[in-house]
Amino acid sequence: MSARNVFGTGAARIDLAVPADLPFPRRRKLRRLGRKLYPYLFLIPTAALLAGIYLYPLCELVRTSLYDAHTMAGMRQFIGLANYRRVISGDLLDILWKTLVWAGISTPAAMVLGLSGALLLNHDFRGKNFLKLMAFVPWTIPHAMIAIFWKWLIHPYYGMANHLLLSLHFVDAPINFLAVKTALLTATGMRVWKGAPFALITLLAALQTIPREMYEAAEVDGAGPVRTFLSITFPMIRGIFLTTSLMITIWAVVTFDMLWVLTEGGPLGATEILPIAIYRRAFLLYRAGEACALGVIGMALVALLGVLYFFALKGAKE
Amino acid sequence: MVTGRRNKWLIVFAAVLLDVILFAPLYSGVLGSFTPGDRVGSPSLLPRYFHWQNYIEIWKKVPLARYMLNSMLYAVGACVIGVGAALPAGYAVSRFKFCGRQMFLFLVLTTQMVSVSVIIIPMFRSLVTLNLFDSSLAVVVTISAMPVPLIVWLLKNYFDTIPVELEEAGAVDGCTRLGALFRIVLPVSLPGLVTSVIIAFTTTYNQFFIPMVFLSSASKYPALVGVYTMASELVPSWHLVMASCLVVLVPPLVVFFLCQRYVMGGLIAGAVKS
Repeated sequence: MSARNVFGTGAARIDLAVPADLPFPRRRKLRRLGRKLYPYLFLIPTAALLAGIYLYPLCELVRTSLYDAHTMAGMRQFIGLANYRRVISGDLLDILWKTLVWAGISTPAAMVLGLSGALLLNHDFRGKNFLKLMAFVPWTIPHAMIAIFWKWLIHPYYGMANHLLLSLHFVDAPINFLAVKTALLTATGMRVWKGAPFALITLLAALQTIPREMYEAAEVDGAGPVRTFLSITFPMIRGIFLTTSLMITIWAVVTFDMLWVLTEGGPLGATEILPIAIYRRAFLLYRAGEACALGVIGMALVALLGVLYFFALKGAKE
Repeated sequence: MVTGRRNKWLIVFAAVLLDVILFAPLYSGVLGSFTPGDRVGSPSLLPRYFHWQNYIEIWKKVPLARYMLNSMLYAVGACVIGVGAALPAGYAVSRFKFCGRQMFLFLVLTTQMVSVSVIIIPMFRSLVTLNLFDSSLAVVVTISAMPVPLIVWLLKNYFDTIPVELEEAGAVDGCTRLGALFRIVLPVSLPGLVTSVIIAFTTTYNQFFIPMVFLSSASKYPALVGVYTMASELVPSWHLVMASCLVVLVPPLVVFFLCQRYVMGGLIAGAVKS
């Protein structure tokens, strides 16, 4: 794996890792530990932390999913795959469908918006850096707070969105953006708003690595803007485009905060995507076993996306 | 890119429009925070009020100072643990060639795909068994792990840019490897460290889910959980909610604007690392 420059110029660099035999004078204790084990000592803190917070809970997750378990109490009884059966025969398809709508609409929309923004800001004009900085601000706002801002913006009576629609006479009565039929789409819009700035910044960094000469050559050859985009711009940023969109997809599938604060999965479960469904089962219904079964299914789904991501990375490098 | 004059104006216009769209929710929040309580029901598109007293009222009506202090303490504590753990790992994967190095980097990366809503169930059950429910320490340790993967990669990339010759010179002068790390490598890699601390701070300050589940007493809530409880009341006082939100946003925004080049660069490196 080659390292990239930290500050995003994107130039591939030579790997500088060296064998551990620099002529450092060693203390006696360390010498006894042996040259081979020495590097691993450095990994212990990170490994311990990540194992405790990620690995152990993941193992426990799989184990709990096979038991009849209450969230606040211990395991009761080993019941094999009964939890999975209950989840699959229950509303699993419904939950997956909502998750698909949420991630499947918001990711392409965020990518298109981000790409258009990046293409716009790739031109030279005064105030460009300011606009770039401002466009990135939504990314720095925590998920939970974004949802509060949106709740206020789309409030049926107090919100600015309805006020604007009413005063432009687009609607006669205030729209309830968080009704059963509209809530999921509204939430998806919020997700786009959060994802687009990230896409914009990464794609802009990618665009800036394209040598100007390529565009000049295209102009000499008489290529129009569309042709230039399809033949030069997009192929050059395809790798980063792919990885960015997969990251945004994975984040959309695993995120909880935003949607929970906006709707708590309601109304009537209209926005109950996977993470919310898991939380509801575990902490409101106290059915930990079922929640864990759903969690395992969810992680399998994300792992699938992760495999895609890995191959996209590999493909992008070639 | 070279463009005509009319096109240029179109581009600027479109870019500004994009920014306006991206800023709309924040704008409406700022307006709301300056609206007097009895005027919340009549929204307007342009700033009509400047009722700054809201920003004084929130400190009296809500234990916002307590919430903010909690957030800061959690974030700083988690920062110390997170960066402290990631630093040696980043150094080792940059400077040593050892068996399983690529595997380690890959595994660290995969943790980024684990959904917190999934691992929080077993974690919560362990906390209950260990009698650590409602313990701030458990929150700090748990959230400290969140930025670690990104920081390990970031520091590795940064250490890669520092020439090994510097350390070799130190070695010749009789420095041990750890001595060289502290006396030579760390001072030189201060910008990388600053980036890591900023990313660790903002990530942990912005945690909502873990503290929400792990804590039960309101006096231990971090700011985000605090404003969430305000906003999810049956009839929230929206003008006060928006004012509190904007106050809570100040620390991460200040950090972002002061260090925006580092933060953006770090996030891009995190996204396009390969």
